[in-house]
Amino acid sequence: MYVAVKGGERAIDNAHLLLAKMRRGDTSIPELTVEQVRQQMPLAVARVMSEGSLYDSELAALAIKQAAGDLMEAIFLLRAYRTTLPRFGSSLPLDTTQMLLSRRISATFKDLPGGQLLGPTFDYTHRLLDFALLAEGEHPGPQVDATAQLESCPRVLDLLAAEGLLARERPSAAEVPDMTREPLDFPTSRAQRLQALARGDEGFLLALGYSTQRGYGRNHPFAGEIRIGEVEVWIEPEELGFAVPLGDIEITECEMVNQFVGGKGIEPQFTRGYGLAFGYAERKAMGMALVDRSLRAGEYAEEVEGPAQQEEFVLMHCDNVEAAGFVSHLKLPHYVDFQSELELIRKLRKQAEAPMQAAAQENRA
Amino acid sequence: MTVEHVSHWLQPAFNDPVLDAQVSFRAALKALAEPGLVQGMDRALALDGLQPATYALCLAFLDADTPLWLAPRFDTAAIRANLAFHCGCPIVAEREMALFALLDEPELSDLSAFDNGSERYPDQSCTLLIQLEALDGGSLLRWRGPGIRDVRAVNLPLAAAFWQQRSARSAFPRGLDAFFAAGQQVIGLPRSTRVLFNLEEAA
Amino acid sequence: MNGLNPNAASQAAGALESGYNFAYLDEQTKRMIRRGLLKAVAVPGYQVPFGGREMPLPYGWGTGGMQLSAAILGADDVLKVIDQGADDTTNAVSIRRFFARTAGVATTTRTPEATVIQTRHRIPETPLHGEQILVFQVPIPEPLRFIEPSETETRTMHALGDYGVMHVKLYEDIATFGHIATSYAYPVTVDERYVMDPSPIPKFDNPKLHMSPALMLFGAGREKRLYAVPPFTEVVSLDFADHPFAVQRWEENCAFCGSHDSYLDELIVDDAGSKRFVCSDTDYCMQRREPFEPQQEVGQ
Repeated sequence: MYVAVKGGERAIDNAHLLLAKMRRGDTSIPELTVEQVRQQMPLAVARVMSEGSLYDSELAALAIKQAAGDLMEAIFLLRAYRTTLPRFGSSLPLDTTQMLLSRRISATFKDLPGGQLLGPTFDYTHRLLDFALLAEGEHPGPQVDATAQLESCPRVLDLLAAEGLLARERPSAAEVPDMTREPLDFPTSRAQRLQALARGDEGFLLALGYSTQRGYGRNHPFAGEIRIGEVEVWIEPEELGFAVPLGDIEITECEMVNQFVGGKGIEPQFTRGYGLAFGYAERKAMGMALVDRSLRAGEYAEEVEGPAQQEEFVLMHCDNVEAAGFVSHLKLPHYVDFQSELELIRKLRKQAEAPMQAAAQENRA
Repeated sequence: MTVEHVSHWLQPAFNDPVLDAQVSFRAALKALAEPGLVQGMDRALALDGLQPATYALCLAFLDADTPLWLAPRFDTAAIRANLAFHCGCPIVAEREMALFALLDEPELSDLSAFDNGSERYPDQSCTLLIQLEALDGGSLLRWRGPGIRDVRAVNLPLAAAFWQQRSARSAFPRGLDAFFAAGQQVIGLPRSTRVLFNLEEAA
Repeated sequence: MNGLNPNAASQAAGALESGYNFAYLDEQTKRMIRRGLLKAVAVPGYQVPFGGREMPLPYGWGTGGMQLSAAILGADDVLKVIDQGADDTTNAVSIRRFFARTAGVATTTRTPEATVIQTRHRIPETPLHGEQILVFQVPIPEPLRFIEPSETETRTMHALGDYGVMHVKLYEDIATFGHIATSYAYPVTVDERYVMDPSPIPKFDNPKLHMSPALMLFGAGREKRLYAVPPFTEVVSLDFADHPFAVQRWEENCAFCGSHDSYLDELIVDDAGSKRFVCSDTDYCMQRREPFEPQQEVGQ
């Protein structure tokens, strides 16, 4: 007799072995080291750190290796580790004007204080497969001046703000909420929204941001500034009473400038969408900035008409660990509920058939 | 207070911070799930004016996320120092701010300022930890509601004022939840319990 | 003194799986969940928001139930885990293993011997007793969610006790199909106040919620909600006077134990579509068969 899903323990053990085998691939090929992943897949590492909400490039690289390159699985691994760590406090706000920049561009000004620095980017590469990378053997590293960096310089949007053309952001003295400790409660604060978006799935934010460009909650954006570089993290422990630096992290910051024609007592001015991600993560930061701005519809009394403007819709569905988990749970046995549905459908069918038969007999009579 | 002063007052907390907290929590959970039934709560020693059960409730539930209001009787240097060290809970002067309150009998005649939650978030209410001399000896009342199969007779030594105050603060789902502690025992009284006086439902 | 006191960042002494806490969660998280559970018990059927943590299992696979179990389990507990009523389904095996590894608790498949039972989609057939806690895994805790997707709106409905939309929906079913077209996750009213989702148990199990001697806890990890039904609490399945609530019945008996009272799973046993029916509750079925045949090792 066939019995569904039996033999639990041994089946699970075997599945784990098979997975390990799949991950390792052909054992005649040298095994990938975590350090190789960390060094040579920095963009994958950055994404896993951002959406995993943990800045640790070694652990992120380990997660990528363990997940056989499945980045969502790696993000999940990092999150599950993060959640076991004690929380000691929150840092002071990052001062990104003090960043050591490796890339900085603005689409809104031809030139600006501090200048533009292209830095490493895919932007102007022609997307032609480089068959040289396919060839066996060592490739000497590229010869470039690695010291090309910008000293700290003011943010573009601050210059607009100084002229009074940009809506002012009021600094908040309120305690920093932590959405990993307190569940979201709607309506959310902007701090909560930004946290959720920073952890949010890059693809989801990209698609939603894109939808605003195509008219679902249109709000024409300009890439005011994108900057990538190292910034110092400071904390102020209560028992010390003064701030101390913890170290440097690499981040990508994006500030979008959006049109706003004003209305309801607000003067015409520019408004801001903000994106921040760990590591080199331009697409993520831009998607986040677009969605941050669209979620500020309420603040600027704009009509909510696109999905990207609906905070509950966006924030409840942007987390890929939650989404992947709930979709994948459909693989679990559901035969008890399915049995209930079978019974119900059969009962409803029987009922529907009875009057039909009666009608058929009437017709014959 | 300087560090030396604090350490002077320090006493041990749970022997095993993990398992003793778990055992104390389970007793508290059972106390609240079956209102009026006495549960043992013996994993802590007495601390200054706090009896073992009262102190165990504090150690099991309080931390940096739970502002605590202290009745004057419990507002001592030793209790403050130990709660600060072992739990890290902020001690607040305003009753409205408290998520937990440590009370003794004289405080029960005025519960008006403690947060009883909102219609939307009835869970965001203050939990009262009430230390009594004993958990019986008062007039016999009949409790009904969730956790009680039919009716449970309970004779906590409480003045009528407490029941009036509790009733005044109850508008289910809003309300105050209470634990009564004495020695190494505890009784739970959630807001869902309906207390009957002389066959007449009063709260 | 923040960060120094034991309740701020204490780690378990003597955790079994090295590098992890007793029952996986840190003490601060357990305290947060425990405080939530007290409120859940005090307001039966009300969904308490809690700071749900990532668990090392995917969302949707029982993380809510696991967090509650992790917060309540102690050294003396005996844990049973079932999925679809069975102890030997893969996810039940996986969760049982997780707690055996991280908390070192004893496990059992026998319902009466368990002190904590974590379940997905069933309530055991064997009546529970007062020393047991049943922990449900919940995917969508909000019974009104499929009628009103906005949390802001449903919270208001609960606050006002305004469940008109639910009654309308059920009545539309009757008008259209002649029956209430909900066969699992069938909504209930708890202690005459909150409408609650009993998790996706078949409505066959709903009557077991009413005046149960065991405490019932519900955890939704992804949605970050927990709720409870205390022992001996009135739990009534929604219905109408002219369409009273009724549970499923089978014409067949269990092919193994002959039971005619338990919830049966339908098996298709050959290519011609022949069917057999067996108990979904494997322990109940085994206990009934035991006098006649030796118990088989679970998991083989």
